[in-house]
Amino acid sequence: MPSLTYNFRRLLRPGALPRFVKPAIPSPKLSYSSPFSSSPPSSPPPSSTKADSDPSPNEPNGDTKDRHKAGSAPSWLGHPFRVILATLKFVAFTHLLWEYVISMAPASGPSMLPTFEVLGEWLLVSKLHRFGRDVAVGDVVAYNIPINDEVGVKRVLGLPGDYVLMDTPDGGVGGAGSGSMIQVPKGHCWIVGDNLVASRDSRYFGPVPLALIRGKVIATVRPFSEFRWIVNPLRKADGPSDD
Amino acid sequence: MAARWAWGSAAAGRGTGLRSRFFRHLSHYLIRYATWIPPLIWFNAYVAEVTFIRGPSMYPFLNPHYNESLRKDLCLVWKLYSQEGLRRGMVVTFRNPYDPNRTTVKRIVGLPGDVVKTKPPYPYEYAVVPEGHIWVEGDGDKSQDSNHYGPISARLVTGRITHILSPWDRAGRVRWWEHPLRAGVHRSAV
Amino acid sequence: MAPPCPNFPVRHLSTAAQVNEDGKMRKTDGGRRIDLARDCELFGLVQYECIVRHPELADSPVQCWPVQRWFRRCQDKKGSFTAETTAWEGTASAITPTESAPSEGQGVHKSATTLQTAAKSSKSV
Repeated sequence: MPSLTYNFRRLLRPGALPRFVKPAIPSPKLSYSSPFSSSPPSSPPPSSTKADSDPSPNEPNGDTKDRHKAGSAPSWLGHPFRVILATLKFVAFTHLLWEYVISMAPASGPSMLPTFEVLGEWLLVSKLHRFGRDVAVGDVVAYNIPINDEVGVKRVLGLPGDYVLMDTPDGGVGGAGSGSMIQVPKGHCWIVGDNLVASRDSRYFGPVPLALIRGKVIATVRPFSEFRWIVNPLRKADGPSDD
Repeated sequence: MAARWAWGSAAAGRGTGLRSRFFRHLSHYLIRYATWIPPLIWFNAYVAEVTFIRGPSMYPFLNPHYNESLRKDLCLVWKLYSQEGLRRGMVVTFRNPYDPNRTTVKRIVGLPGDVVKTKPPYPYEYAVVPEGHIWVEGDGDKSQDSNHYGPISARLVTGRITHILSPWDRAGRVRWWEHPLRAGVHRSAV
Repeated sequence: MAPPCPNFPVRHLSTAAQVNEDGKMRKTDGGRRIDLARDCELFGLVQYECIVRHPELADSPVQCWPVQRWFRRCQDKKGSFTAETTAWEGTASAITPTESAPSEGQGVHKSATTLQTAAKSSKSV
């Protein structure tokens, strides 16, 4: 880390600190401490174009030029404190992307069985659908399990105002007329796993608040072997077909 | 960033006119300050937030003059690890179970395992707070709370009110542990 | 678990479907009653009952039996809503005294029998 020690020594030099602090705001080179600045070193060095084209004499670019003659520190690195700040900004930015736009997480368990395997599935989750925004009956969602602190993946079978069977349909076998139903209350949804015999879902803990929905599962990835979009399987039928 | 370089050098190629310098400075300030927006959002979402309290549901603890003035209380909501260590008496914010886009402030009355004697709109006289859930009620009469929507999942909790900031006479730390526990709750061991 | 909401037997579905989540009557064009069989489109979705044959193995074969579920999507003035009719299709309340109903009702009964002998589909992990 020659550049860092160089900067630290500069910091310790008497009279260096004011020079460091004062031009911190107007100097354009500082803008490269933005989180996007992790550019490859092969790209054109920003400071050279800046230094050449920058006509303003009152900016203390002398330091930068000197440092470049020394040939060790790229200008975007700057002050070590600034590197830490840039890292923090970058981490916050990525975390927000992860929480509000898209994320990916491994999933395991038998509750969604033929749709997702027991092990080794990585799910791509669109966080734009969090709180159940634009979620339709038949979509697969990731949600905070209301009774513990884990995250589950299940299929939505009912949205506010819809009517659903409270229990498992009896495999369609003689099920006509049996079973009780409820209307999903406002702000809630009804979620059931695809593997009805090995799933703990709304049949167990009741309707789930939409506020607990983290996002919609849009694709599944098995690393290096498979990528598959998850489509809504709800299909229009002519009548309960009989062939 | 690459786009910005291209822009910058193109501007430089056109000469060092006033306009190019203006755009260069503009983009510089935009990027310099815009990059602080994600950390600020992140801080507000996960660490702490200062917010106004609307409505009379926590009367007289919050908004004691709701029917006399439009003044609202300003509070500090602490959000870090807010779903852990919940206790009876704490004043928490949570996503409204009837509307995920609304945040509500109530006091915790019951924890998992408690048997709560409910108030009128609730259809049953007693309710058992299930695992992972809490029973929340407002301090005032005009409150839509667990007596309407039942026990809520503790995972809906987004923060707890730790300080009142705005009317100076009541400003200070929220001493939730000094608030008397509600009668009619058979408390489990927690 | 959250809000206390009453459950009702399947035979009351036609009546329950007239009320929205706020407890108010659903508004329709012309103010007529919503008839699930006549006014609502039928949708199907398949779920499964799966058994992992050898849970101790990482690549155990998995056997699945399909469970067909039926839904009807209806319109009211506020938008559309869905009613699960898996247990309702083919019941007495589903057969309305309109002209198209009897044939549909028969189809439903036939489907119930085919579902009884639901084809076994197996799938290996």
